[in-house]
Amino acid sequence: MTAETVAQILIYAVINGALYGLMALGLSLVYGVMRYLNIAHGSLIMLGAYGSFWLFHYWGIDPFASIPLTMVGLFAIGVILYIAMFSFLTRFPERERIKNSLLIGFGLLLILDNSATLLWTSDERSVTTFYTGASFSISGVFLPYIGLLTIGLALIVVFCLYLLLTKTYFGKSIRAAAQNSDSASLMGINLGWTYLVSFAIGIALAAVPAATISLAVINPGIGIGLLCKALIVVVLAGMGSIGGVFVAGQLLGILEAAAVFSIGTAYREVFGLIVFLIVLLVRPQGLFGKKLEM
Amino acid sequence: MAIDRKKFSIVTAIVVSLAVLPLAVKVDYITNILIVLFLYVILSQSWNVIGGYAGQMHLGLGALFGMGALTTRLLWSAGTPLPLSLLAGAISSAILAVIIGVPTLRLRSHYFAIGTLGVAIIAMTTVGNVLPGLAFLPGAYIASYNILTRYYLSLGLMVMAVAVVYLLVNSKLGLGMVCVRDDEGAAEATGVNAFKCKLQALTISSALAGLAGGGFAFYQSSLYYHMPFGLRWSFEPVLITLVGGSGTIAGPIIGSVFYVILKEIFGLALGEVNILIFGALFVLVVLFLPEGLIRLPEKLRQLSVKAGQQEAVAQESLGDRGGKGGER
Repeated sequence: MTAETVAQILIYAVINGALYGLMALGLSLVYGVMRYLNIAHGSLIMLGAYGSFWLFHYWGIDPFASIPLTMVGLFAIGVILYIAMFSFLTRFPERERIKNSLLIGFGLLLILDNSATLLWTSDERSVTTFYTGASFSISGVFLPYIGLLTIGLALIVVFCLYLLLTKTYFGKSIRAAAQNSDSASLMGINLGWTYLVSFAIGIALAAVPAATISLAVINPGIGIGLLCKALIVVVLAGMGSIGGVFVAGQLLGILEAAAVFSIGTAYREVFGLIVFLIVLLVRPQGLFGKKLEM
Repeated sequence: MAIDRKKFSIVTAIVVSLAVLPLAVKVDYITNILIVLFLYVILSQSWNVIGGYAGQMHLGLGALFGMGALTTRLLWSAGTPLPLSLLAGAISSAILAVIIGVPTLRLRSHYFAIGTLGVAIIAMTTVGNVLPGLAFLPGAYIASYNILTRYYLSLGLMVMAVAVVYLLVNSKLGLGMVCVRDDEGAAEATGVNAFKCKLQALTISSALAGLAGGGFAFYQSSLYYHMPFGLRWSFEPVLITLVGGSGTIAGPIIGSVFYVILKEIFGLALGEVNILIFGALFVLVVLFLPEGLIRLPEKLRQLSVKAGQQEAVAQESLGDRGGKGGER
């Protein structure tokens, strides 16, 4: 194995890892703030990817350029979903909230996946731009443009989210609500509003990985696979830990690359899931979670 | 355990009429639908034990259904007598359940949910990789394929499954399961071994799922080995049981009837409209009717009684205005 091969594998691991981190970000934010385990998150990414696809198909807008548009669309969907379904769960204590949000997310997943099949058939689609498959090489190591853009996006999103959460008043109220919702409410924070907006932001974040995914292959059934990656990353990071998500994403990317290299692509998903189960059993609070919550 | 005479005679009447039905109505279409219905009832009763009575969000029933189907199919087509193959299928699922359950049941319930989902996907992918092909039956088996045998076998399995759940619910273990579901801490404090109780529930539930899988493998003349491991077998029982009414014997049966009817109505449409409708129904049930459709008539009656009472109170207070109104 030459140094170039190793470097090439690592490059792909880092690109995939950034994508996994992006997929898990919204899920982790929603769980961290209001203890909702929204297992429809993968299907919402699927929806976002279809948004990118149709914007490109009809108006020729590049998937990366259309992220603000799909974000606004998903934000609106998030607001509707929160008002129509998830707001009813705020009255439950934490344990019931997790269970009921999981059930609702489950129903939502089936609704979204089957609606997508009805609307757009189960044909596989993808956006093909002039830079699809293009890359440049540095001393024999290929750097695909899409991958570099994904890494760039991940950095931008992390930076923006960091600014939002630490430098704004609203970010402060989100963090307060995540730490202790009762005290936050007593301090005059409007919990209903904070929950609504952070839920919608969590859903809107699904638009970012959706852009990259629309450049690969999309069909109405991809949601569950994406959800799995996102769940693995969220559990590795420690549920609700937003900062750990990208590190955990990189870890999963590297693990999968190692699996593909040693066992082959057929067992890539299985390998990730086995690592996930082991972490779940040995360290359920995640690799970066502090609080032990058995 | 007191058996309600009236209920018992109703159940007997239903079973007898189901047993006579294919002899009276010789339409293969209806026989086939009923076989599928019976299998759904077994599978949703299986989920009912672990999810409805023991309160564990199991999202990986497909792995156990598939395990039962695979074991039964392989043994049966290799020449093992059918009852033995079915038994082996159920046992293999129960063993798999213990392997899954011992580590995961100690976790908090939502970790159990995503852990079992992970197991289902691992099983699906692995079997799809190892056995990608189609399972055909030996020629002699196909020549002797008889729909009525399938019908009576699945009817018998269903009656057995419902009876098992009935006996379980009325036993000490059943009581323990309900205690653990309602409040694990309080259950432990009163001397219920919560982990053991959950593990027993999972084992029984999985044996039933394996039995359903065995029935399915016997019913299908040809199938992909990985097909019974599909995620739909994990998801459908959850939908059916919760919509019908989890934690009740009749709930999964009502849910299955609804589900199979919807499935037949929309069978030809693209993208499984039945699952779309059921998904929406499911969300509504979780939000507004957590006990399932089985409680719907009661809920409606309560609502109308309440409305009537409010009306009466309103009228009374109007009539009493100025008076004492102290009779109440």
